[in-house]
Amino acid sequence: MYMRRYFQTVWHTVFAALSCILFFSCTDVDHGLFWNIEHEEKIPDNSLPNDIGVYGMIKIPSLYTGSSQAQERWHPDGRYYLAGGALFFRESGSDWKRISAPGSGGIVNDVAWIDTGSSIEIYVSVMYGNSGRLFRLNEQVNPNYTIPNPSYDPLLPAGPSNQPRITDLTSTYTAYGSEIPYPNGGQIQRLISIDTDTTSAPGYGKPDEFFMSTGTPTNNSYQFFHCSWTGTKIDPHETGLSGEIITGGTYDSVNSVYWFVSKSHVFKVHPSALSSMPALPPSNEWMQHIVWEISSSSISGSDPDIFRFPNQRLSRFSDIFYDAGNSSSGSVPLVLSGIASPNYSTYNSNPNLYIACGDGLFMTTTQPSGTPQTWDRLSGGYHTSIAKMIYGSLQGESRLIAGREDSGLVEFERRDNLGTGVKEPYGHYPYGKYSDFSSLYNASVTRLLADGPIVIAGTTRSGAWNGNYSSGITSPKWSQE
Amino acid sequence: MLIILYALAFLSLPLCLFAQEDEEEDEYIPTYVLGDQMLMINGGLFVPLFFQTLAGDLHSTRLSVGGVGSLQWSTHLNNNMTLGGEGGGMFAFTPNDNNLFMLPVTIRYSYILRKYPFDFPLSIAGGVNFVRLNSVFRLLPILKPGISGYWNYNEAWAFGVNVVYWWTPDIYMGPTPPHSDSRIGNFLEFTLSARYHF
Repeated sequence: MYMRRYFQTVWHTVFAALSCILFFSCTDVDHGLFWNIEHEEKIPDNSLPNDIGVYGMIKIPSLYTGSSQAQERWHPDGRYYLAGGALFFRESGSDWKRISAPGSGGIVNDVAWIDTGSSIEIYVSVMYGNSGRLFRLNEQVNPNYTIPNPSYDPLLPAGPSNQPRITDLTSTYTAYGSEIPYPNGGQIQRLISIDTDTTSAPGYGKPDEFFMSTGTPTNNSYQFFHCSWTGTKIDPHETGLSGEIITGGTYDSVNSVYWFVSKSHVFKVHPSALSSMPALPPSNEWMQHIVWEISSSSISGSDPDIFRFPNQRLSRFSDIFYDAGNSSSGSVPLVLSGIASPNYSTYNSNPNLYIACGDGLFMTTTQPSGTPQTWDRLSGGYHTSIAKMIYGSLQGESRLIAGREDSGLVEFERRDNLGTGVKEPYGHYPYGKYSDFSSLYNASVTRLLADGPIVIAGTTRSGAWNGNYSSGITSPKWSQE
Repeated sequence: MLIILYALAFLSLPLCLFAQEDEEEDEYIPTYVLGDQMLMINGGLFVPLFFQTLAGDLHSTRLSVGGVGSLQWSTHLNNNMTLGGEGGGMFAFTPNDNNLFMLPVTIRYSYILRKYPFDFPLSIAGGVNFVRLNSVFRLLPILKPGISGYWNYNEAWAFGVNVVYWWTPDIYMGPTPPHSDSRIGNFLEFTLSARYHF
């Protein structure tokens, strides 16, 4: 009798627990559960370690035909560089190669490049405890170097699949060239390179301006440097924009203003202010506004209503992206163009400005002089990065891709979702086999790199992922770098 | 001397026969009546067989061989029939090492064929199947016909093997997911079992 009652209680408890799991865990999917298993394919996994954190990525195109250097230094498809503890690089069709930070105890935490018009300059930031150092990458890195037998690298921890590691090339040749000194020597938090050329093809730009955000959280001594090119080297000088880490930057090529974001603020900066910035307000006044416009002679703050949505101040700004379309041909922005009402009617003809922050992804258009109009919230959740993938020709389709914390990627397109004839921004999980890869859709995305129809997403703990839209804008092929 | 030994052997023969009759009379074959209960614990291999579409096409599951375990409780209706419940779980891996978990909770009926010290339960179970793949969760129906073989160690304990077929349909009416995504999962379980009567 007692045993019967005991087991009845056990079964009731188990059933109740399982029911709770059911109601708290159900999620909708586009395909059936068994169907998804049946169609799952083994993802291609390239040679980049799958457990590193990625904090900087660049793509150097092969640009030298016809330039003053008139030689093709890289593979015709260019070269990728990635900062993830060490510096990694690869060319199309090749495995990743690894270069440790110079000295001991260094962590490579960002990489950036600029095109000076006569050369390509690549810069790498390295963190040593509470200090940082900036290096110019030696051009004598041999692009034809191959590793015949990749071997296990004892410097890297064993991965879950115990895959072969990349042989470190640090001792093979001198990768790091001259060190670029800067005041205070604090940790380098971000390297930001920006393309200000109005004729650049979207997604294939050549950055020509270089910025650096430094500072150490322990003493809050943050500084923002503009690293101008002197003709032979870069020269970091303080802009005067201090107090917070600058987490992202972009350039409004139509109205010739910079946009930067820090953790708590959005800055619209006129180029003249970079060399002559007025004194910033005291800290108590500084925090009263979210958006600041800075010229060489004035500084003013404002607060768009939506930046205090919903009844709280937006914060944790992490990236900003300006999409002008291809202004040289007069075409409208490729992303989300053609959308009508309520606010989207203005998006037909005006460039779009996007901001990623802890409270979502926001967009607006910029009128002449760069004044933003009404802001709209495209997506909720902590967004960390923004990139634009371009599919096909410049006049073809494109996609805005945004990275998020703890929930991978979201892709935006135009869609008449409600059957009203009005196309509105529609955010969804990327197409293709994206939903097969829990290491991607559960990842915290740190950086996005768009290279035409290819998007590379760097994550905090699961390396980098490659989404290739070449074969179809609704059928990207996902693989792990 | 030899004659005396043969005589002793001949005279002791009835004693031996009497002793054998005692052993035959002492052998006890347990029988069970309404209310007698048993508890079984099972564990072993889980083999994904195929997914079947509603049109009858068969497709590979692409799943790895996995593991399965369960706990069963039954009560005897008579010496040959039992009715009870079962809860268990399995795991298997997809090509990208995603975990598929299925937790069926079923009611099981068995008919036991006996040839002491062995018995062979033929069973059918039906119930609900909690299925989870990464963040996707579904509640599916399930049928589990099976056959087992046990060796009765004593009146209380028995040890054996089970072979159980899992049939669990994953049906959609559309539009999302589409009706054509409907599949019927077919799996096989091979487990070792320990049974306790009480």
